[in-house]
Amino acid sequence: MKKLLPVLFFLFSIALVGCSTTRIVLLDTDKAANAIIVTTPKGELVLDEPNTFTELSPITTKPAAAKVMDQRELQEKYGQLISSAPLAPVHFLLYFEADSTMLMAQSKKLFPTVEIAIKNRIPCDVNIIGHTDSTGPKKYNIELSLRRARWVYEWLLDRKLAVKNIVVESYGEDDPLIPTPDGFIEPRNRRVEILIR
Amino acid sequence: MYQWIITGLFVCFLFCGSVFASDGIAIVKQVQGTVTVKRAGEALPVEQGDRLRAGDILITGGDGHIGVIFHDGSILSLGERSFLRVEDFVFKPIESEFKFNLDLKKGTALFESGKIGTLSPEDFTFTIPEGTIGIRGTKFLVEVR
Repeated sequence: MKKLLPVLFFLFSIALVGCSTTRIVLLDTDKAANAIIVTTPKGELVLDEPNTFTELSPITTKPAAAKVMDQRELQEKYGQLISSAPLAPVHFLLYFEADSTMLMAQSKKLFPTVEIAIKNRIPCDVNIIGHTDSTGPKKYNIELSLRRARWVYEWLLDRKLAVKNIVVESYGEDDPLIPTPDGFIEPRNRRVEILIR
Repeated sequence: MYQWIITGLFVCFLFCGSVFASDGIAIVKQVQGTVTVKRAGEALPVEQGDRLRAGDILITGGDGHIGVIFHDGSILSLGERSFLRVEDFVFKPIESEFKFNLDLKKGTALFESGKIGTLSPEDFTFTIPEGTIGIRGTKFLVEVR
C-alpha cells in the first residue's frame, strides 16, 4: 500500500433532476487538489472551483458553463445527502522505541483518539500496518514490524469494539516514511499505521 | 517501490457479516429506508456492515439512503430514488492495478475520491446518462489554464 503521496481528493454531488437534466456540483473539501472533468459527446468542462456546478440536458448534451451554487440552495436540495455521507477514513501513526514493541510516550497518548475514531466509524474495517527503520537485517525487520503490528492488534482486541474486519500487515523496512540508506537509524520509520475505514 | 516482499502477511477476520462475503470491495456504512442490492439478477436486502461486490446495483426507494466506503477509501452516498451500478472496482496498489467505474442511471449521489483518485485518477470514471465525470490531476489543470 502506498501511503506517502499527498492526497488528491475531490468531492462532488450529482443530481439527475427529473428525466431531463443532470446537475453536477463540485463540493468544498479541505483537501488541496479538487477538480473534475465532465465529458459528453459534444464537449467537456472542467470544474475546479468548489461550489460551482454544471448542468447537462439531452437537448444540447454539452456541459453548461460553470455557475456558482448558492449556499442556501445547496443546503436545501442536497444538505441531507451531504450531512448523511459516511465519515472519511482516517489514519494514525504510532511510533516505537528502537528494536522494540515499546511505544514512544507521545504515541501512547494517541490511543483514546484512535478509539473514538473507530467508535465513530463502526461498522468499520481497520488495517494495522507495521514498519521498521533500516537498521538490522531485512528478514528480522519484517518479523519486528509484525510484532509491533500484533501489539497494536492485541490492544484493539482488548477494546472489544465491534470492528468488522481487522487486517494486520507487516512491511519491515520496505516502506519507509522517510527514505534512508540501509542500516540507518530513523525513529520516524519505526511505526505502526492504523487505517480506519 | 512496488516490488516489496511481503512476508508475514497476517490476516484476521472478525465478525464476518451476514450473507455478504467479508472480502468484498466496499463496506456498507449506513442504510436508511428501502435499499436493495441487485446481484446476479437477485434482489438482496442490505444492512450496515455488509460488503459490496463489483457488478452490484444499488437501488434506493423514496425514503432510502445508503452510505458506502470502498476499499481505497472512496466515499459514496446515494440519496432517495437512485439507481447506481458499481461497474468495476480493482484496487491493488502493490501491483499498481486500479479500476473504478460507477454508473448512475438516476437519483442523487455524492462521491469523494480515495486512493485511486490519488494514485491513478485516469482509472476512475463516473458515468451519467449524458456522459462521464473524471478526475483531473493537478498537473493537467495547470496545462488547461
